Amino acid sequence: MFSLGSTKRLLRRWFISIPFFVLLGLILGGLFSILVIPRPNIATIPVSGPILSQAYADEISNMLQHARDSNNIKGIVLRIDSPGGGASAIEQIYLDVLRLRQQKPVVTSIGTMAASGGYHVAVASNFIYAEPASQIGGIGAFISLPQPEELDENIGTTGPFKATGKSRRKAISHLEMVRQGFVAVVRLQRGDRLKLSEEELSQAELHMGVESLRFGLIDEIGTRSDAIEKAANLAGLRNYGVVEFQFKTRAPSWSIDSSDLEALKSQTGLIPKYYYLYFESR
Amino acid sequence: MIKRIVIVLIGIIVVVLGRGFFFYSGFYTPLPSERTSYEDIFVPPAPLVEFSDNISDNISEEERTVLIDLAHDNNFDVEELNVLMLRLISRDLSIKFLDAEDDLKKELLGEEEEEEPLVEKEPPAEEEPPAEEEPPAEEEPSAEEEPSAEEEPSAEEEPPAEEEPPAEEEEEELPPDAFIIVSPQLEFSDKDKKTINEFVDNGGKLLLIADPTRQSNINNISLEFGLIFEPDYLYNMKENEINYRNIFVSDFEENEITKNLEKIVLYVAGSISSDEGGIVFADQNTFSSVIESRKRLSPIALVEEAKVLAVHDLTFMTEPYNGTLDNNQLIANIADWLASPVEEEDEEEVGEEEEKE
Repeated sequence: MFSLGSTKRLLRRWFISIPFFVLLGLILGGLFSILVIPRPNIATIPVSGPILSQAYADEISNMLQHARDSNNIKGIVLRIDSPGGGASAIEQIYLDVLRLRQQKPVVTSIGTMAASGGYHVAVASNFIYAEPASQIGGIGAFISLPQPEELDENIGTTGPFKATGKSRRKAISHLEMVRQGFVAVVRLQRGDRLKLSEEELSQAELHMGVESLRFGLIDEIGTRSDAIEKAANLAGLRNYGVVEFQFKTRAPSWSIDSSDLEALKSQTGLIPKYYYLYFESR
Repeated sequence: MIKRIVIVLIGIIVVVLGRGFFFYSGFYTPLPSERTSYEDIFVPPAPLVEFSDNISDNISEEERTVLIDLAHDNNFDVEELNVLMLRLISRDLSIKFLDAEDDLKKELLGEEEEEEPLVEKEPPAEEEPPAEEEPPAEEEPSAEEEPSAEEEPSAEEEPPAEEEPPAEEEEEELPPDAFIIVSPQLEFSDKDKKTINEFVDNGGKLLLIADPTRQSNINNISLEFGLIFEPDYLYNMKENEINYRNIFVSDFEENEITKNLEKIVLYVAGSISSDEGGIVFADQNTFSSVIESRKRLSPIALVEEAKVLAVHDLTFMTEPYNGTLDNNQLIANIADWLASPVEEEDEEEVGEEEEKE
């Protein structure tokens, strides 16, 4: 049996032995590496439904910002299933994706539809996947033109356009500028991959996923899983987790038809507002 | 001791590198940051052209009247014809409106409806003989039309009564020389169609206007003259006035409607199909939203020996779109056409040709 003194001697020898320091180094290295190299994740961010309100656009922007600021998120997949929305709201998300792309790879996976503003957001990403039957394109904008001012003796205004914003002719002129801006964004971001001319893009046609691949509107046919893998690949990840971001509030309902368009008009009143939005007119 | 510290550090590094290699195979290389250059976005101002209205020499010196249809739930505001009406007024044309309660035959041909008085007067005739005197009595309350109330019973009995009052009234109510129908939503009855046909046959001019942005039943009357307003709109993606639906047109067939025109802009115009009636043609880069076969698309047509003019766009006639390029000239030409009489030579030639046939 060992006496207490001999045990102490053995322990003292162990604590100064090489294997102890190797083990210590490995343990400390393990603890340190968890802090320094957390498990990397790919985040999926939904961009779904019509993006009409500023609050909804802000929520998507907040998710993008969180993904940008988070150390363990190394790549982002935008899961787009949207007909677009208000022009300013879409442009806000587009610019936020561009900013995010400077730090982390962004890959888009298109579900049912990336039309109009939905596609505007998609082109900001590094790589675009879509399914064979996805609806893609609709590059263009529309506006509810200002109605002629109804004069009222009880309401005073300081200028001829105070109540209408602009003339109908000017609104159409601005609409053309919005169209040019949208087309320029698509041409810039798709670059040599794009096989459609400006005139063809401006037709605002919706294409099937397989057609879109041929026209260079997307990069590959694939699903959300492919997009996650691609994002990981671009981020240089061998092993990773997947984090799904979700809306705090419920995404707006999908259907946009002419009755909703009437609602849009009533929301905007006399002031013209531009939309990158696909809708089915009757 | 240093040796031991080095061993610990190597242990740490090995683990960190191991974890790093477990998770990572490389690094992300960001794409070059490119933002759209919005400086290149430019929309040219509307090509406005100053216009002076030179009235044609062919205009009739006689007093002429234009009747505008408001009786068929026409889908337009009278104010939208202000520019055209101003041109007509400057050519000394009087403008009248056909309301729903007006009798088209009376207003257009200056003839009374034949059937209506008979229908009204039949029941009393069957019931009691004295009732023959009642119908005029019923019509008496319309004090404004006292003379006509006197006319009607006499009209029923004998024609000479018609000849008595006309001397004064016919001078006041000459039948119109032109009839304008804009986007009618109600159908024209067979009787109305016959009346309009008769009006055109007698040398009256008919201007048919529709617009793709407005519901209308224009084909109900235009088909009488071999004209079909297609349910489409024309667009040009290559060259347009700010918007693809605002098309430039510079291919004209020479006639009184297209004189002095170089280029016009139509704002959401539709095409008109006819048997060689087209006088204004869209270019090769202009397409129909509906018709896919390549044919000469014509938004303006002139048929029936230049007595029926069909225009499938109303907007170019309205402010401020009338001021673009030669639109004002086109409106002036239409006003000249409405104000000028049908050339008699042509009618005679047509008559001779018909006789030969």
